[in-house]
Amino acid sequence: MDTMDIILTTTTRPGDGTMSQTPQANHEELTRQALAMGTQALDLLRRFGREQISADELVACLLELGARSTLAEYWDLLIGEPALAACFEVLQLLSTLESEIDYQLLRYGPTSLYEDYKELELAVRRLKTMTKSQ
Amino acid sequence: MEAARPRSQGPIARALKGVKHRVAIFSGKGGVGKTSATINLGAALHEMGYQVAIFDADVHGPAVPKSLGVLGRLDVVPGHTGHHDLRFDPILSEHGLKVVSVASIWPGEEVPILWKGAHKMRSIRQFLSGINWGRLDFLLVDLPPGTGDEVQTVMNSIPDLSGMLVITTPQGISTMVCSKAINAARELNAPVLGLIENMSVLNCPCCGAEIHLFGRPKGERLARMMDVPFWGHIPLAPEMGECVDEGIPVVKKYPDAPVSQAFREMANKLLVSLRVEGPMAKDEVGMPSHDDHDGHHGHHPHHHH
Repeated sequence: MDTMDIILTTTTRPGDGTMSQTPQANHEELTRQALAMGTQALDLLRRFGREQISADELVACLLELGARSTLAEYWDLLIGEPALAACFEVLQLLSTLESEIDYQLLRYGPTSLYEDYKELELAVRRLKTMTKSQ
Repeated sequence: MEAARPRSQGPIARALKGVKHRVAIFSGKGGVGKTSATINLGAALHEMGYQVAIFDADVHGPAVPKSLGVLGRLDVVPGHTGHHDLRFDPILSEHGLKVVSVASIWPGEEVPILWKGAHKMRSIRQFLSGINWGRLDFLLVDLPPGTGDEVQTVMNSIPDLSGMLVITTPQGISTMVCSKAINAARELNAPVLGLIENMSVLNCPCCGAEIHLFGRPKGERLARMMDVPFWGHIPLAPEMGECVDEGIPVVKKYPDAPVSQAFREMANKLLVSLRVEGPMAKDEVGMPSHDDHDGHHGHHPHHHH
């Protein structure tokens, strides 16, 4: 199965670097991107937990999300602004999954991802609350 | 799934290629002065001409940056090809130590770090592989107390770990928990280089009499019992609190104080224990240390005070 078939379609590809000019608009755009990535990752983890996708597909799809490059691209903004802490949390968690999920699966097995699912779910919920209040 | 990578070929091994000696500092119990010991050991080694970096692996209570007066953040190093990736240069403290800590990436001092087990493990590994460590004589890893996720991750992830240094205090509870930590290191095949008893004695500033605030020293007996080398005592010094608050290693601010001399002695023991013959040559320091895909060779750490 192609990784792009697995990832849910979104109106804009996250991490595409198209940020607006005003700080408020940047925050909103980044929040929206992080929320899209977090939601997609939750779906992927859920499907992996139900054995609907393989570990290889999960790894490939997480890489496809591009959280690591988004985090790197907007690093200064993300770590310099406490209001974006929830965005940072989601992107940082996803970036570590991107880099280290193969090690985690080998060392701790697939069930270790349940804790990440719960943590990500909480962070995404916080982001959703933020988006509603914006 | 990708097969398990041999330790010597993974991204962490590549990032640490230029690091000669990798030493983790740990304790069973919190509050034994592990961070102070780490930064002062590092400062003493740096004084002797060694290139030293400190990796603060305490995710929930990172204290190294504050103890070294480092207030800046880790900046992403721009790649030469315009590609964005999470690579960082360590922050260089005013006293010549390179510093990497989760505190240097966290958005806001009041924002709690709620990472859990596997997330912590991945973050530590991401740090280890994503930092341009450059050429170093020593990487000192300041571990959180106990034998939890961070400690196990460091022990399992750093290839060719030179060894562990155990810090304890004379309190009964500390020595008891310390023995568990030593056993944990053994379980994980990490060599224990030595045991240091911190805060062993306070010398009265008026008469010089020895005051055993935390009871009679027990470290030597513990070391004998656990069959690990005992490196000696570090006295309890009132100067320490002031130095931590000011972000200056005590060996720099009060070089002649007994506590500073004790740290220098421990640094010498580390050199002997690892059979270190001397610092790397000056022209070796700036040489590229690993095969960065983006062509970023060498490192130019920035000062943050």
